[in-house]
Amino acid sequence: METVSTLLGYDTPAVDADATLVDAETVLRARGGDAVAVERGGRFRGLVLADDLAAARPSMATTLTFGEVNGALMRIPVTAIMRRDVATIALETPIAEAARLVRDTGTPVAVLAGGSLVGLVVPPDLLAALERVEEDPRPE
Amino acid sequence: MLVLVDGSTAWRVVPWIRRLLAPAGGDARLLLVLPPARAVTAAGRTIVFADQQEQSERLAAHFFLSGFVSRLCGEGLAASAEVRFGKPAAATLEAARDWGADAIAVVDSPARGWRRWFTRTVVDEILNHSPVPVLVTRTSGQRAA
Amino acid sequence: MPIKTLMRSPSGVVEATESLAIATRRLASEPDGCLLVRNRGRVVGVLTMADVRAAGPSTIPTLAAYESPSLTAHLTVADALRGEGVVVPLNAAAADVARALRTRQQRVALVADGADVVGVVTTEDLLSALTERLERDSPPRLARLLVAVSPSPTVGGGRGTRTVLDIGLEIGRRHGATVTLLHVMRRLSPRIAEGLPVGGDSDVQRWRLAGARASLARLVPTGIETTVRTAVRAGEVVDAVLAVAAETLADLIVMGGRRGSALVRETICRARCPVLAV
Repeated sequence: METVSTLLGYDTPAVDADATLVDAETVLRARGGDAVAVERGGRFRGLVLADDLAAARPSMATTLTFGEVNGALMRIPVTAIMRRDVATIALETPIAEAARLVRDTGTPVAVLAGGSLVGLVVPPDLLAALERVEEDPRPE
Repeated sequence: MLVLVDGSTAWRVVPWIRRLLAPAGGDARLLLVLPPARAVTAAGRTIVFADQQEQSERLAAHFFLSGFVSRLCGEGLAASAEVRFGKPAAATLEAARDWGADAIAVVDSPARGWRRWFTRTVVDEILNHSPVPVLVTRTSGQRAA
Repeated sequence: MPIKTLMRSPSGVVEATESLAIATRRLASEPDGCLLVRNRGRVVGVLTMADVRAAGPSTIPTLAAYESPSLTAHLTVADALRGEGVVVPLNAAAADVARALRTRQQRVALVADGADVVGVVTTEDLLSALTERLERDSPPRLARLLVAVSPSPTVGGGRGTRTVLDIGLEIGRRHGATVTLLHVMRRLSPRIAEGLPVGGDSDVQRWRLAGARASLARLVPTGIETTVRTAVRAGEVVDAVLAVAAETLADLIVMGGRRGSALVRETICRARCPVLAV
């Protein structure tokens, strides 16, 4: 049975809990992906989702200038929008269950080993797994 | 198996129930316990009576549970849902007794510091008073089903 | 897997010029959480709650203060659309749709039959398909159980232990799981348990260890189909249970004793798998 260890790139975008929303946006823009992990003291604390970052930005109807918006975001810590109640799994978790968790929670799932973050399972990883499984030439 | 769920934990325990009961078939009842409904008043007038509020909340709760029930039924299990009002632990133990549950499943949400003494009360009470085995899973730091 | 088996019927349509606030309210009541967006009679995209949140007022109160309702009321659905929609043909395979959504970083694909949109497929639908596909080859079950028992003889034949054992073996039998029966001896030297040389009362301890192993072995019924292993460890009960659970990659720990006891509670708090308190 394939486990999530085969999905992870072990290169998880992460920021410290003292980082700001602009820091998180910068990391996401540079690394791509759906979420940034938040860590403190080497321990996983939560996730900042790309969707939540987008929702934190004002709409086009704001009276703030672009510079004022970015200035404000530079003062807001990631913990303001961080999701704390994130599903966590281990490396030996079957991919099927990781897929189920991502589907049911609507957020990436954190893979932990000894309390430390090893990686994130995000929808694109699972979609790639589906491509692989479906295109497996073995008969059903 | 009677499964105590709420909005934030159902996703965690339902896969375990499926995995535990699937090989031999099984009967799962998802239980959601809500606080007692109160009448909605404004300027001294009752806008929504308590029983109306309860009915509304019951419908919403059943709608929430229906997705999980469908999923379990779709995988060959006999699944149903129940909504009760009251204190979670007491309502769960009463539901288990009324339904004749062989076991109760609950989700423990680990908390730190002072929160620990409040958030574990429901699981502790069920563990202490349940007449049947209790399956406890956690929302984090634990392998998924 | 053909996409026809996964797709859902269009749940609703909204005009691109429609007020975003009205579309948001409609979206909240849609079971699959997306609306087709039409502009001049042609479907141009899909609106999801994530799109609405991104285009709407800030979720940060201090920033939202600069967005007056009279201004946000003018936002339209078109303002919320992000990127061009992914359109796939009706005869597409699930893998193709997954690839299209992944490479274009979208969550919903429109399924078209010629010029008509006949359905939508979401990332959630594809994740369900993945789960189903993987569990077709390996149906969900428990593969390894750890049953913590105390084989010491008591009046009544150790009924409490038999209950934990009975339940553990029954679960093991149903799942075809490997069951590890574990007994932890608090007053046993860990070195004795590991078979290492030690002085003092080592002979007594070895005799106790042998007795415990024999008692544990006698608990296993003959002729059962389940694979049952036994283990005796020394030291603190919770530490030993969790260590063996980790070694054996237990999917479930079954334990007896008083359910609300500190021992059971600590095991529940620290275990990497669920605990069945009998």
